Amino acid sequence: MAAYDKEFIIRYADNELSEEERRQFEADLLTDPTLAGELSLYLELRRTLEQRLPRDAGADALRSTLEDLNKEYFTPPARRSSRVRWIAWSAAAACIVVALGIYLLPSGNEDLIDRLGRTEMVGTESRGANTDSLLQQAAAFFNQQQFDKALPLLDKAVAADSSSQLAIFYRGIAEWHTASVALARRDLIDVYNGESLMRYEAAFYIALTYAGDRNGTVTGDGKSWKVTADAKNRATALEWLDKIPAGTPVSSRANELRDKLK
Amino acid sequence: MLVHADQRYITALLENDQQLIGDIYRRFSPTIRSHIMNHRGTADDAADIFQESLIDIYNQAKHNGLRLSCPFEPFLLLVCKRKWLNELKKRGHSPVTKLSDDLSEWGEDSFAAAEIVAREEDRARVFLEQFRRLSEKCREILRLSLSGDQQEKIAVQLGVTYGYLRKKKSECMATLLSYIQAQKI
Repeated sequence: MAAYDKEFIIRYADNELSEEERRQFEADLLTDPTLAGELSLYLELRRTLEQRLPRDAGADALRSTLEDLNKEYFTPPARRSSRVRWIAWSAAAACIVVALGIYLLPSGNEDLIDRLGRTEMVGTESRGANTDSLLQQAAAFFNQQQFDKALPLLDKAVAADSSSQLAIFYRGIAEWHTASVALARRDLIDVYNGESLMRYEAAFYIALTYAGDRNGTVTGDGKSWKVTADAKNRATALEWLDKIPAGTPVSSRANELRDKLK
Repeated sequence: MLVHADQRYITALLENDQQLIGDIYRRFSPTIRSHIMNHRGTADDAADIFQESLIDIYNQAKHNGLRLSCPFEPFLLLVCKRKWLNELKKRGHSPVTKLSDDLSEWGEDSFAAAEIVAREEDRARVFLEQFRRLSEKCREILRLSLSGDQQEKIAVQLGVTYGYLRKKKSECMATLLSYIQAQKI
């Protein structure tokens, strides 16, 4: 291949070369399939990022629809209706509760996942960033557990500043509380992969999304969660907990959850 | 190319038509569920594969203008099967079915359409995974640079010169290209 580095190829594709550089590059392109292949890969990469980096409201709405339908079509107990099946299911559920009860309900009547997942959304002022009215409005709803009302405001905050790790982090938690687990994981993984102070908190909440299944009952303050009985999800939750070092704000909660999962 | 009447299912995904998407679940999810549960999977695996396959199809329709020339059912089944085979490989299991068997069973059109979706979406996934490995600064620069906004405006927004932005963007893209090439896709 002719002696062009990647940055030169990128500058060609982005129309940043001089006329002479361009002419020479295009001449080499005609006779150098490796160079042509590298240019083609860059063009594909650029097109893909242009298409997929912006948040896609249509995909988000579709995911929400699919998640609802998944519950209906892939969760057998919810679809059973006959009396015999209901009795059988109740008996089985009772056995599971007895078997898992030791770690499902660790402190009185409080649900473990609910307790560990509880958090207050801090205002932007206390994080030392610029005051942002969208985040402050979202925090008011978030801290009253009105996650469905906090979500649209957090969406707007992220749209206004897509690099705001604070907004993405709390949107992830709000999505988790409103059962949009796939979206929650995506946001929280973004935060974990970044370099913000909240990355280990994000890892903890990702672990929670795998550790907890909604138990389907409605309590006084909304739907609650239970530790999952699914071995694969528990293993994934443990993998995420292992990413959290000692001494972070969530380390003690991570240890508690790890002990329960094991 | 003659577009198949089942293109309406693709349109339903694009428009989030809940009634027709419900129809997709009612008609096609039992087959997928049965296939996955008969090949080492659980109901949760089946749900994940079904959902992610529909999202892949949505992405191909939205970004690459996917047009169906075959019925939706074999196409969806093949997309799901391919995705499940990849998942099994990731989990360290040997594939228990061969894609080549599907070519004769389901026909060339369905097979080719499913292969395109799988290949394109696999590549896009690798691109985005490797993008997430970049530093936060690089990701911010690329995200803004590729947003379609004027580069001069973005430089002002980031508090850097236009020349620095162009140089940094090329550097970040070059790093990303190296990461992707190392994946040998």
